[in-house]
Amino acid sequence: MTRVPVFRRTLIFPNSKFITKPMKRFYSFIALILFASFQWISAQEGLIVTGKVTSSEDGLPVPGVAIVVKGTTLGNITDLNGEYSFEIPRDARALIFSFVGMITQEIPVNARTTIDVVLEPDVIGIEEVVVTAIGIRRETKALGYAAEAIEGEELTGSGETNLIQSLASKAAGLQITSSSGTPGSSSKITLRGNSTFTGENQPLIIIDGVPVDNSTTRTVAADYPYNEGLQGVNYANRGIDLNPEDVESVTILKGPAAAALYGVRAGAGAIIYTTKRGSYGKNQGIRATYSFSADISQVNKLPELQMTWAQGDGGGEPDGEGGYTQGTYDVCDFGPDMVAFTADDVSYGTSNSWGPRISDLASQGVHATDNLAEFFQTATAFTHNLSLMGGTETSSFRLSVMRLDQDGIVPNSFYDKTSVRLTSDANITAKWRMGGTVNYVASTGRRTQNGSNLSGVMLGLARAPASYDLNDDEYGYAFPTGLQRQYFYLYDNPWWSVYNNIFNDKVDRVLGSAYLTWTPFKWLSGTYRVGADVISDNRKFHWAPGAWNADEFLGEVHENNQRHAEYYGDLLLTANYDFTDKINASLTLGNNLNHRYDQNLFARGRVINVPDLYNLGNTSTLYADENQTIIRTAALFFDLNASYGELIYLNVTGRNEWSSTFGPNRSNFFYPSASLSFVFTELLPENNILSFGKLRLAYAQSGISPLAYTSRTYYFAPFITDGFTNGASFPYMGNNGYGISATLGNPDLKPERVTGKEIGADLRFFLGRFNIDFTYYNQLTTDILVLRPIAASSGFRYMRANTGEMVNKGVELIVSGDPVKTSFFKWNISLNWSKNNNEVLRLAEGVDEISLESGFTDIGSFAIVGDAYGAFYGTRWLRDDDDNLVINPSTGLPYSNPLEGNIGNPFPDWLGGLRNSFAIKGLTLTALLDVREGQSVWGGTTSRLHRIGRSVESADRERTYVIPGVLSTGLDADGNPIPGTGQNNIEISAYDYFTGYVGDLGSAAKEQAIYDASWIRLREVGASYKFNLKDKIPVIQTLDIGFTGRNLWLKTDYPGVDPETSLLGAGSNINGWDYFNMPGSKSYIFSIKVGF
Amino acid sequence: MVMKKIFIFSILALFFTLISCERFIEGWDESPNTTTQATAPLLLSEIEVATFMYYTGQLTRTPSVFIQQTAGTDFHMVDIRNYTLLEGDNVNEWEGIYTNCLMNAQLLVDDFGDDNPYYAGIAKILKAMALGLLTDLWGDVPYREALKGLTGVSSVELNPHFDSQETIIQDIQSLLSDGITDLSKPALDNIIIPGIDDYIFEGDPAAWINAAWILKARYANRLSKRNPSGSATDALNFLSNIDPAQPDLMSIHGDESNEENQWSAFQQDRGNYMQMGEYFIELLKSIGDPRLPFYALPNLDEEFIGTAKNASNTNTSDWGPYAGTSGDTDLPLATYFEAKFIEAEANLRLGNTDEASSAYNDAVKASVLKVTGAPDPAFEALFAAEDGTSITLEKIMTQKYIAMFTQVEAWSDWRRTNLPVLEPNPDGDVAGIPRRFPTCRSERNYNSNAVVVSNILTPVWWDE
Repeated sequence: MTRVPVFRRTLIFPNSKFITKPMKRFYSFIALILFASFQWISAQEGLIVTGKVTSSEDGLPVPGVAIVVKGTTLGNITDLNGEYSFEIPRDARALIFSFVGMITQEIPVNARTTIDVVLEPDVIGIEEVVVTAIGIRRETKALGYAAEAIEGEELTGSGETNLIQSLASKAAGLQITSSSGTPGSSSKITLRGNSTFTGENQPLIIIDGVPVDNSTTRTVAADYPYNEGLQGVNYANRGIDLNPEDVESVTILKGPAAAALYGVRAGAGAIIYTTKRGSYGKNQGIRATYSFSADISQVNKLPELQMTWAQGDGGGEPDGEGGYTQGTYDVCDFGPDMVAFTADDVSYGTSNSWGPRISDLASQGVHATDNLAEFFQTATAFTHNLSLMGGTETSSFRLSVMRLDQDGIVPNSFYDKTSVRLTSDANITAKWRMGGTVNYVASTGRRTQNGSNLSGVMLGLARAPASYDLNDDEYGYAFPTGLQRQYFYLYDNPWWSVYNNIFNDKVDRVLGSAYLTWTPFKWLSGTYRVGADVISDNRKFHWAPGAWNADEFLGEVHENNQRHAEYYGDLLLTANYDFTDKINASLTLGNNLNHRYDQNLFARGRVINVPDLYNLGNTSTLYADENQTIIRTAALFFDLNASYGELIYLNVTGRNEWSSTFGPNRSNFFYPSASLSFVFTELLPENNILSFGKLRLAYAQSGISPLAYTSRTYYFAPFITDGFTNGASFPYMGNNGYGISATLGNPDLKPERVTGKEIGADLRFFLGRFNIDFTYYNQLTTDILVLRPIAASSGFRYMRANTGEMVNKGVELIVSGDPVKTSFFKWNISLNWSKNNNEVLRLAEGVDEISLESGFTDIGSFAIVGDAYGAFYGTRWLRDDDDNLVINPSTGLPYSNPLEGNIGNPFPDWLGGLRNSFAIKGLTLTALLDVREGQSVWGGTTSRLHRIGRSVESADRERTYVIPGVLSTGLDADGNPIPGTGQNNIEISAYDYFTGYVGDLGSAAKEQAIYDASWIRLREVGASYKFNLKDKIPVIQTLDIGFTGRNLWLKTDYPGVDPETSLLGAGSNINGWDYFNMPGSKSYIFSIKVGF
Repeated sequence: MVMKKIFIFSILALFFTLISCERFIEGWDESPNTTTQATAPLLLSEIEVATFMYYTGQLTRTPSVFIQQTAGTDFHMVDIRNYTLLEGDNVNEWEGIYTNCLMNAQLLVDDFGDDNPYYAGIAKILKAMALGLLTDLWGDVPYREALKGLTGVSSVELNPHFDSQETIIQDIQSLLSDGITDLSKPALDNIIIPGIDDYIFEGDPAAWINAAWILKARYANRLSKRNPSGSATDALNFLSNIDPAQPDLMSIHGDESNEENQWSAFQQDRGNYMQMGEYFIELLKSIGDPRLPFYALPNLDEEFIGTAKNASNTNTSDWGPYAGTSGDTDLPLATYFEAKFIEAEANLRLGNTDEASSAYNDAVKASVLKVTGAPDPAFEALFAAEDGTSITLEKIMTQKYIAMFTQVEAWSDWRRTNLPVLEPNPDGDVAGIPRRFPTCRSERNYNSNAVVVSNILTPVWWDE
C-alpha cells in the first residue's frame, strides 16, 4: 500500500463541533438547492494565523503539510521552512494538520494567531487518504472495499511512456498487457478479469474527477469484411497521450463496490488519476523542476531461426537410399528488367526453406544471413519535462511542459509527443473556491505494418529464408527500378515496406476540467465540476506502387479522421453532521450529465497516378464512409457515510442512471452499493503486535452499457453472399440499396449488471512493519447482451437479448513490510498476488458458444458455457480415452477431431508482483519482479515457421520422427477412426513432421500451437540518488539522478517473441494471439531531475 | 409545518431533476448513421440484387453438379459431387432468402405498396420467385406464419409453422396474379414509378407482367406429376398471355467486383472447385451443338472436355462466356425459350403433338439465338425440326436440359421427368442423385416448429 498526500481540498469534512438547531440547517440546505441564492455570501473579517510545523523524529521543519480549517475547505500548505500563514474565519474552531506518513492532528485555535505543531510519524499508515469514486476522498481505514493507491513516482519510475503500461504489476487484481514493443502501441488493462462478452472489459479512466478517453480504435473501411485487427498496425490506446509526470497518485477501484457510483460505466472497475497541483502559501516564489531522461531500447526476444537450409522445396524427406533429400533451390527472379509479372520472369520463388544446404550454394554466391537480427535497431527516446509551481495565499498554479522524441526498434518508426498542462486553483473568498486544468497534447507517430499482413514486418522478416539477404550489399532492398527486391512474389520486403508503406497518425487533444466550490456553512458545500476531452486523430496511410497488398500493385491511399469529444458535468452537494462525539454522518447528493460524440471518416483512393504523391486526388477510384456515435447519460446519485468512532464505517451509495443506449422502453436503472469497515483492533487492548486490523464487507451493483443504436432495427446496405465469393454489395451499378438489418433491435434493452460481493481484511503488525491485505470477491455479471440466433423464417437472423451470465471469483493478497528500518538503511518489500477464476454460466437459449470477435478460420476466441471466458477455440487432434493422440497407420500423422473445441486460455491462473526497495541515505535501489503463471498464447508464428522449415527445430531434418500416440485399428461404421492400443512406431519424414504435425499445414490442429506463456520478468530495476543541495549551492535545490532498467530479464518457455504480446491490441476482446506480432523491447533509462 | 415544506420542496426538486434527466437523453437513442425508414427504390434495388445472388450462386452450382452439367473437383464441391449435402451447407442462402429477399419484399409491399402499385406488383413477383426457390429446394417451408419478427419476439413470431408445398405453390400463384393486377393499373395510380432502381426492367410494367405469366406457367407445369392434365391446361392458359417481343427476366451484373456475375466470380475465387461436366460436354459434342463454345471454354490442350462425375481432373473445360467469364455477364432467370419449352411439354401432355413440336422447335431456336446470338440453320435443321409424329418428351426435356444451363430450374425439370437419363455418381454417399436439400441447420436449431427432413433422396411434394 502506498500513499498520497493528504491535502484535503474538497468534499471531506472532518467532524464539526458546530451545533445549531438541525431543522433550521436542513431548511437552509433545501432552500439553497432550489434557489441557489447568492445573498449568503458576505465578506467576513478574518484572522491571520501563522506557525511552524516540525517533525517529532528529527525536529526538522516539514514542508508541504496541508492545513485545513476544520469544517471548511479553506486551507494552506507549509513552505520549505515548514512555515505557514493564512487567513481563517474568526469563528474557526480548529485547524487540521496532515502530511504523508504523519498522524493527522487537530489543534483548537482558541483565538491564537501563532500555532506551532509537532507532527508524529504515522508508522501504521492508516491515516492515508485515497481518492475514491466521484473524487470523494476517504481515509484508508474507512474503506469497506478493496482500493489500492499507487504514487505517481512509481509510474514515472517505470520508464514507460504509456500511462497505462506504467501500472503493470503494481497492484493486485490488475492485469496489463502490452501489445508490442513498438513505439506508441497499445496496452490493455483489466481488473479482476473480464466482465462482459463482446463489450468493454477495460476500466473507466478518470482524471481529477472527469472521465477521459482510453479507447483503442482501428482504421478500417466499412467495406472491409474481415477483422482489421488481424493485420494493419499497432494502434495506440489514448491513455498514452497523458504525461505520467503530471500524476500525483492513482487509485485502483477494482470492483463494483468501489466503482458503483460510476454506474453503467463501472462494470469493469475504474482507475482514478489525481494530478499534481500548485500549493498555496506566502512568499514561496516559483519552484521549477526540470527532468530529462534518455531511454535506449532493444528487442528483448525473437523467434529462433535455422541458418542451415536454403529457400526451396523438396528437402527433409528420406531419399530411399538411407539418406535424405536436400530440396531444390528456388528464389524469386524477375529477370533482367527487375519488374515483376513480365515475360522475362524466371521464377516467383517459394515461401519455403525446405531447400538445399546453404553451404552447398556458396558457388552461386549464396550465404546465410540473419535477416531478423540485422533488421531491428537500437532505439532511443528522449523526454524533457519542465514544471513550474507556485502560489499565493489565495491561489496556486502548476504549469508543466513535456516533450518526448522516441524512435522505434523498427527502422523508420517513431512516436513524438508534446504536452502542455496548466492547473490553477484559487480561494476567491472564504466561501468560494475554484480551479481548473487545461491540457493540450499533440502527438504524432509512424506505425509499422503488423500481423497477418503481406506488408507486415515480422511476417516478411521471420519467413525470409536464411539464404536470402533482404538488404544486400549489391542493391539494398530495392532494385534500381525502385521496385522491391524480394525472395518470394507474395510478401513485401520488410525493409522496403517500412520505407514505402507508411502509416502516420497525428493526434491533437485538449482535455481539462474546472470546478467551483461553495461552502456556505461549515457543514455544507456544493461543487460543480465540468470536464471536456476533445480528440482529433488524423491517420494517413499508403501502400506505394509495387506493394503486394494493393490491387494490381498500383498503390493505395487511406485517409481516416477520427474525432472524439466527451463533455461531463457533476453537481455535488455534501453535508456533514456529528450526531454525538462518536457518531458522524455525511451525505453527498449528486447529479451527473455526460455527452459523448464519436465521428469516423474514412476515405480510400486506389491506383496512384503520379508516383510519390500520396493524395486522394492522385488516385483513380475513390471510396468513402462515415460513422457517428452519440451517447448521452444522466444520473442522480447519493453517497452516505456514517461512522461510529474509529470502530465502524458504513458507506451506502446509489446511482440512478438514464442512458440513450438503453432501449426506449427502459430508460433508467438503479445501482446500489453498501460497504462496511470494522476496525476490530479498536476493541482489543492496545498492543504492539497487531497494531491495526479491520474487516471489510461490501456488496454492490454496477453496469455495462449496451452498444449505441442496438435498441432499434435499422435499414442498411447489405453484403449479400453465399460465402464462396465476395457476393454483391452496394452501391450496385449506380444505385444504392437498403434492406432491413438481419439483427432485430431490442427496445427492451437493459444494461448488463455486475453484482460484486467482497470480503477483506487489512492487518498491520508491529506498528506497520509487516502488513497483510486480503480480499476475496465474487462478481457475477448478469443480463449480458448476447446476439442470439433466431430462425431466419422470422425474417431476421439474430436478436439482442440480455441473457448471458458470467462469474469472476478471486482472491487478492498484498503483503508488505520493512524487514530493516534504521535511519541509515531501509529495506521495503511489497508483494501483490491475485488469482481470478472465470466461468461463463449462460449465453442464450440454444446457444452454448459465441465468438467474441471474428478471427482466423481454424482458431477463434470464444465464450463457451462452462469454460473460462476468452478460450481459444480451434481444431484439435483426435484422442483416445487416455488422452493419447490417435495415429493414422497409413500416414503416421494424428487424426483430427472432427469437432473444434476449447484448446486453451490466455488468462493467467495467477499473477503477482514483488517489489524490493532499499534506501541508504539518498540512494534508493528498487527491483520489481512480475510473474504470470498458467497463461497460454497461440503461437501462430511458431507453427508457421515450423511449416516453412524456418524454425530452429526444423534444421534437424536429416532424420525421421515418430509422433507419440496410439495407432488406429481402422474405421468404424460412421467412418471415425478406432483407437487401438499399439504405440505408434511409424517413422515420418522431417518434412511431414514439421508441416503436418507441429506446423500448420492443412488439417494440422491449432491445438499444437498453443504454448504455455508463463513468465517471470524483471519488470523494473532502478537506482537513484538524491542530492540535497539546499543552501549548498545557489539556485539548485535538489538533484536526483537515476537509472531504470525496464524488462531486462525474462524467463519463459514460450517460443517466439516476448509472450506479453497481443495481435489485436487493447481495442479487442481477443487476447493471447501471436501471429507475426512485433517483438517486445527492453530499455535502459538514464534520468536526471533538477529542482530549483 | 417546516417539515412539511421541506418534504414538498424535496419532492418537487426530485421531480424536476428526474424529468430533466429523462429529457437529457430523449431522442439520442436513434442512429445518425442509417435509417429506420427505407424508400421504395432502395428496397427494390436490394431485393433484386439479393434475388440475383441466390438465383445464380451456390443454389445453382450445387444442382448443376447433381445433374452433371458441371463437376465438383475440389474442396466443398467434391462433397457435393459425392452427394454429401449437409444441413449446414446452405445456411447463408436459406437465411438470406428470408432476410434479404422475402422480408424486404414484404416491407416494400406493406410500407409503400398501397400508394405505389407498380412497386407492390414487382415486389410480389420477386417474393414469388424467392418462395419458389425455397420450396423447390427444401419442400415444405414456413411462409404464412413467417416474417413476423418485427411485430414481436414471442414463441409465435420466432417459431413459424411450415406450410405444405401445395399451399406454398398456391401462394406463389396468388402473389403472381396480384402482381399482374397491380402492374396493370394506370401509371397515374402511383406516387412514384420504378426507374433505374429496377435493374431488371427499369420499371416497365408490361415486361414484368410478361415475366409473371412465364413464372405462373412454370409453377403450373411444376405440378405435372400431381395433376398431369390440369397442370398442362393451366400452364397453357398462362402462356397465352406471353408476348415474344418482351425482354427476358435476367440477373443483371456489372464490372465492379461487388456487381459480378457469380459464375464468373466463383471461377476467379474458387477456380479449382468446379469444371464442366463430362456428360454435358459429351452430349453437346455428340449433337454438334453450336452452344458448346459459349457454354464451355477449351482446356489447355484446346479441347472441349468435361470432368467425369466422380473425378477430380481440372485440366478440363471451364465454363464459357454464356455462364460468365467476365463479371458483367447477365444470366437468365425467366425467358421466352423457357416459356416455349413449357408450352411444348404441356401440349405433349395433353396430346397436342403438333402444337408441342412447333413450340419445341421455337424453343430450341430461341435458346440457340439467346446463347450464340445468331440462328444456326444447320443445327436447327437437325434438332429444331420436329413434327407431331417425331416429338417426344425425351427430346423436349433433353433440349430443355441443354437450354436451361446455369439455372436451378434444370434440376427441378430433371426431378419431375428423370430426363435426360443420368447415371448417379457410383461413389456417392447416397444411392442416387439427390432430390432435395436437407432442412437448414439454423432452422432446425432455432425454430421449434421446424419439420426436419434430412434424407436428400426424399422427393418434395411435387416430385412424389
